[in-house]
Amino acid sequence: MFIKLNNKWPAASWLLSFLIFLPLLAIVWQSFGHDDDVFAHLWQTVLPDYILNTVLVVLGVAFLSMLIGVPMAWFVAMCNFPLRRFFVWGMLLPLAMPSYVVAFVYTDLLEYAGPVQGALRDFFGWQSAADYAFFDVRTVGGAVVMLTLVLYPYVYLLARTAFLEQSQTLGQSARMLGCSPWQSFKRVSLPLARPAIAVAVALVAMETLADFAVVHYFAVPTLTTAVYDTWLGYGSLAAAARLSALMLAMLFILISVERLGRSKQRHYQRNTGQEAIDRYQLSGIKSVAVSLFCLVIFTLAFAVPFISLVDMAIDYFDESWNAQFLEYSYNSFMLATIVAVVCVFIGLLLSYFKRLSQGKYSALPSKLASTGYALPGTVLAIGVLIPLSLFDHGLNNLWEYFEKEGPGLILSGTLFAMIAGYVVRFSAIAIGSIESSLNKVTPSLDMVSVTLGMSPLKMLFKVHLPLVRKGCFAAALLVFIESMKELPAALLLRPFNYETLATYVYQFVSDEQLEHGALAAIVIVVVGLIPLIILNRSLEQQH
Amino acid sequence: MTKLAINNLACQYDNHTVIDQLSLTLENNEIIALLGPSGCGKTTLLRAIAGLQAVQGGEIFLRDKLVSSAKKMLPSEQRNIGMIFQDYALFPHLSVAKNIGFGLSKLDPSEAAQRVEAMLKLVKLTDFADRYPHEISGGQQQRVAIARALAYQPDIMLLDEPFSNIDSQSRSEIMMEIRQILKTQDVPAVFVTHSKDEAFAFADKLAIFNQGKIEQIGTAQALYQNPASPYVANFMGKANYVGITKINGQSISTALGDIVVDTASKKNHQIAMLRPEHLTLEQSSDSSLSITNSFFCGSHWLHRIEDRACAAPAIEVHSALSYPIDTGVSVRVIPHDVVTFHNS
Repeated sequence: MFIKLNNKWPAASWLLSFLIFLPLLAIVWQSFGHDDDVFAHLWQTVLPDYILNTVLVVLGVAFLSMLIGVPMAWFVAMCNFPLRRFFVWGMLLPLAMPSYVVAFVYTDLLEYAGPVQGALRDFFGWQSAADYAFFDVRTVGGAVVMLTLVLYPYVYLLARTAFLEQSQTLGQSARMLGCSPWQSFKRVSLPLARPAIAVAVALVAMETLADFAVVHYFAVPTLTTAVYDTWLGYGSLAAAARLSALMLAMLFILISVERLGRSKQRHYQRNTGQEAIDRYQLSGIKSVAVSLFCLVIFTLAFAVPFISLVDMAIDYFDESWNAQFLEYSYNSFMLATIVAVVCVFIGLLLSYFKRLSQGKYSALPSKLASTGYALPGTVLAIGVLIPLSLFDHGLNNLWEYFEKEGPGLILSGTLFAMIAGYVVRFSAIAIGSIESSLNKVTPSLDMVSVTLGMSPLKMLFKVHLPLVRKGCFAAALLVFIESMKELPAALLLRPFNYETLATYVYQFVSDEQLEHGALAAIVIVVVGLIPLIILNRSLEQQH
Repeated sequence: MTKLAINNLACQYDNHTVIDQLSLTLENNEIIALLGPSGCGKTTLLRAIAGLQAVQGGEIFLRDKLVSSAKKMLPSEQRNIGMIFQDYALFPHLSVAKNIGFGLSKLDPSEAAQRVEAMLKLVKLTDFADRYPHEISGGQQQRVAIARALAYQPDIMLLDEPFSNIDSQSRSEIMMEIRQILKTQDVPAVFVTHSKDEAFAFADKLAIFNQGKIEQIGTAQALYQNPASPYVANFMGKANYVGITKINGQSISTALGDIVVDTASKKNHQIAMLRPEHLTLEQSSDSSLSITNSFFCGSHWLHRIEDRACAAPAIEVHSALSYPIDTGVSVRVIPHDVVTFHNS
């Protein structure tokens, strides 16, 4: 680009992106730093089991999500069967369900005193647990199933898009060259969707790796719970950082898979999006079977947990609708609003810098600032705590040096830490959204503005901002929603006695009293449905 | 043997009729071009032949076997047809050689490999066998698509606007090459295009489409010289129309003078169609006609001539000479077998 920004803008961009990148650096730095033997102790005792559990859960969820998501995506994209139009978006709804709510509901339903076992006992006349074998939900296997129920939509969504974006002529060519529909799926559609599926499975694995609530609730010790316990239990930041670094290593592998998939996708998908799709008309039995398959998954992943929540919320409405609920709703709302505004500001600053700056590394600040989203909430919290507590301790030491009483933990012990953590985590969303809408503004508009004598700043307000307003709004909304839902970072970073809706609900889940938190959980679910509606509408427009 | 026969075909798309009462036959290794503006039904016809489009009436026969009718629909994969799509539809996850061998999975591997080898040689891509589609040029992709279809040994080849994505510099060469390949392989072809230049260069016969029907079918020369309607005449090249004021014994009278013709078949005809090359002009100071626009076409000049006295349609005339704008001219018809129509 040819437009010269004044020096403040690049300086602010580099500084901000460095600050957002700092937690990651801090973890790496801290994990090489001074050790207080906690890590060595963990390594000799429980850590190998934690790692094994983590790997088992991640692989299990990835595999099961693929098993459910890919066929479902193909059916919905390429076939006609009853209720297809509903399933197109219905199968996405579980994304809005917090995993710990699903876990709680099924634990409640399937426990010894729960309705399922009760009904079985009544029906078969069993007297006690000794009379029959029943599976235990609170196991590695149970965690895999619960997480799959809320994460398979990633695979479904990306695979469906991949199938829809395959050029119709490819399938037709395969048919003309003698392939039956099934052969053409096996030889053309599936191999072409493979990079997209790899991306989706990598995302599912990353989310699973980051999951804290389900494994914590099920008492399945994994690396995330280990980070949490090491910090809150042992108070060892160093050991927590080392555990986090271990997770980062796993994350790195997953991100590489994801990147590889994306780079291949470029050649495999020719997004014309114009062609009408000739769907296969499934015959009677087959179409019923496919409908049933989708219906069962929908029921298990969304209908059952949501209806349970509504049921509990109605029963306990009077107890739930209290000052606490309102206060925590307000907390969540305020926090999410502040974070959304800050993130949009950062997104605008960095993407505008990237657009106008001429340097070789002008894309780097927005890239650096986008790394936070990949970090699991627990890891990110540790990464934020390291520099903040360093700063606080330094400040207090300074005060002590002058023999005054220190100001206390003004950054790490206050709402500042929480906001910082959320901003680090969700800036990527705002940057991505704003960058993509800024990319749609043709560069010739910039040239025209400059030749008409506008300064870069004036151009931002007169030309770009009005054009990317929608992108900014979408960014703010997405960040707001993610902030409402965020749990692990909130648990680690919140000030004493400060609750958000998510921590409030999780509190009740841990205490086996979700009845009292059901109303709050419904708020989280409903807020989470908003982006799905937007997403689905934009997909509908494309196809 | 008749390679393709279509009788009284009717096709509908979204409840409106796209093809109506259409008949067409293809003999031996002819290449026939379906020519017409976009939306006239030519691509729908191609898809119907391929089995990608249901038909509501009439029949399609391939090698005398019924493949499509309102009641019967043989699946595409059983029709033994080769099809070249506008975007070539190469499988992006397979190498050039694997693309060409895609339809040969029923052959034993050594025979399939031999055929792929032969096809690579035929389209001169032996050195590119292991490349992927995105690593080769548009013209090369086109040749891979041809080789892939030919390797399958189809009874007939269908080409849907195959040259529209190729830049104009290399287009005529590629057309010539592919025509040569089809001829040596003895494969008949149906070719859809909206460009008459492509149809002239590539096809043996042209079928001019107009709103779901074939208006006229024949060789390029026949259609150019003896169009059955003004629609065909316009599609094939520039045409001037002058009204016939009177039909005499051996000639017709027009605004451009009397023209000698065989009047036996011209009864009640009201318009004469005159191509620019069938007119000649001379400078003339006492004529009401004058040149309003001129441009150089390489082999000749094209002059646009209007009548200052009345609002008659402009006439376009070829000439070896250039004239300044506003030159007064007189126009004369070069004696030839003039085409006339009832009305325009």
